[in-house]
Amino acid sequence: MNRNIIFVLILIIGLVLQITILSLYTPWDIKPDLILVLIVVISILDGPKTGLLMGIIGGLLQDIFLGEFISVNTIIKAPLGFISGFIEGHFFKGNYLLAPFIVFIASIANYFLTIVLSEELIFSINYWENFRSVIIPSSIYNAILALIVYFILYRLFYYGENYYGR
Amino acid sequence: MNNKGRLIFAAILIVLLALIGTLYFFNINISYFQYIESGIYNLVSPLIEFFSGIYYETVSYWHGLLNVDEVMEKNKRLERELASLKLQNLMLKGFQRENERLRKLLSFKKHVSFETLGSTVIGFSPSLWENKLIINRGSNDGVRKKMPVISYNGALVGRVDYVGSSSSQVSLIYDPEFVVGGIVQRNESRTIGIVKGQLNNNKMNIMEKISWDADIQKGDIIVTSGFSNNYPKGLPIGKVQEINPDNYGLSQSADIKLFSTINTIEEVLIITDF
Repeated sequence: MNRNIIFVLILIIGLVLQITILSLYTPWDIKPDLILVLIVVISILDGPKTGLLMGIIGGLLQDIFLGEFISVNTIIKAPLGFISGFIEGHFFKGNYLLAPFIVFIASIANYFLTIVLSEELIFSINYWENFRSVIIPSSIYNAILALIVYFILYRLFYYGENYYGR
Repeated sequence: MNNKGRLIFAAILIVLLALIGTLYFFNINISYFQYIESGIYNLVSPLIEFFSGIYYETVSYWHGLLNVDEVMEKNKRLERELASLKLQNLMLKGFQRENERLRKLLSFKKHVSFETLGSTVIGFSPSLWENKLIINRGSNDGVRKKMPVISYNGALVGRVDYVGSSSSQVSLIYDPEFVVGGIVQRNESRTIGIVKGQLNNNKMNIMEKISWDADIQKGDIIVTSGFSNNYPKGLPIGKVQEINPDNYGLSQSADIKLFSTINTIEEVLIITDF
């Protein structure tokens, strides 16, 4: 099967896990963003083109389950997926620690842009309080998930390929 | 990719992002998109129900396994409670008959109870700042947009926001965009105000636009006022915890502690008519 189709199926499963288990079980009252983690990890493994495609599809899926078709998530996740893809080919894929780092940065960018692009948040939110108690903990959670997701996807699809890109 | 290919790709990318941006910022609704949206929503929602089912089963299994003594104890207590409630119910039925008879004598308007539809919570919104529930009832079960949703103890939980064929999304009472008219339940007071959700606070709402001389006290119970057509009158919202002056003393605002604890809610009732 085409690898992109498999990635889309993985995104759908990620969305379902995000809505159910990861939202129902929140031991520290924080929620991760598994869709973002998947988009960024797929993008750094496969390059900007796949990253852009997954960013659009993942963002759309997330927006549909927030009651809107094209909204903030599509607008933010498409460029984030695209940009993080440029690292592909410039690092050793067997290094598992790069993905969590990139996902951490992408998460902070994602949450910040979400606030800036949502009219109900931009003027009413307490920035420092949210940065401290919501954005940083969720980004750390995302980074931990990224380690697991990267390990699984790398072992499944890219293990044994050339170290620097394909 | 060669240079020409890159240029074409970049052009496509810019056009695509500009298109998506235009659709979002100018709030353009294309009806064709709605079919795609509801199609994808209806395809994915059975999966959500399946996964949340697995989650609830596992949790309750573990809980049962780890707390057998507690569960048995609780069962005994509930049986006793049930017996006493049955007796109470019997007595109340007598009162109901009497009430109906007296109402007829006085030719009072009949009190109508709501038709409700039970539903299981199968998920929460995939965003940090939007507070929504996903429930396993949709248009096939007669659910429509804007129907009020309550918990099993009767407290207001939210309002149906999006309806799919077999699941719907409920906008929650503590969402910053949620607004409902509230009234103090105490007979001597009947003070009115507007109850709103607050960002990052799922236990407290704020009641605003209370007149400066209004009779409102700590501990007062706030229920829906029923002045708008969206909610029936008298659904419990919460209890007043603190009263503060607002608008430089021209009005008051009150912190309302919500009755429904939504992060742990597993089942809700949808009011289908009122």
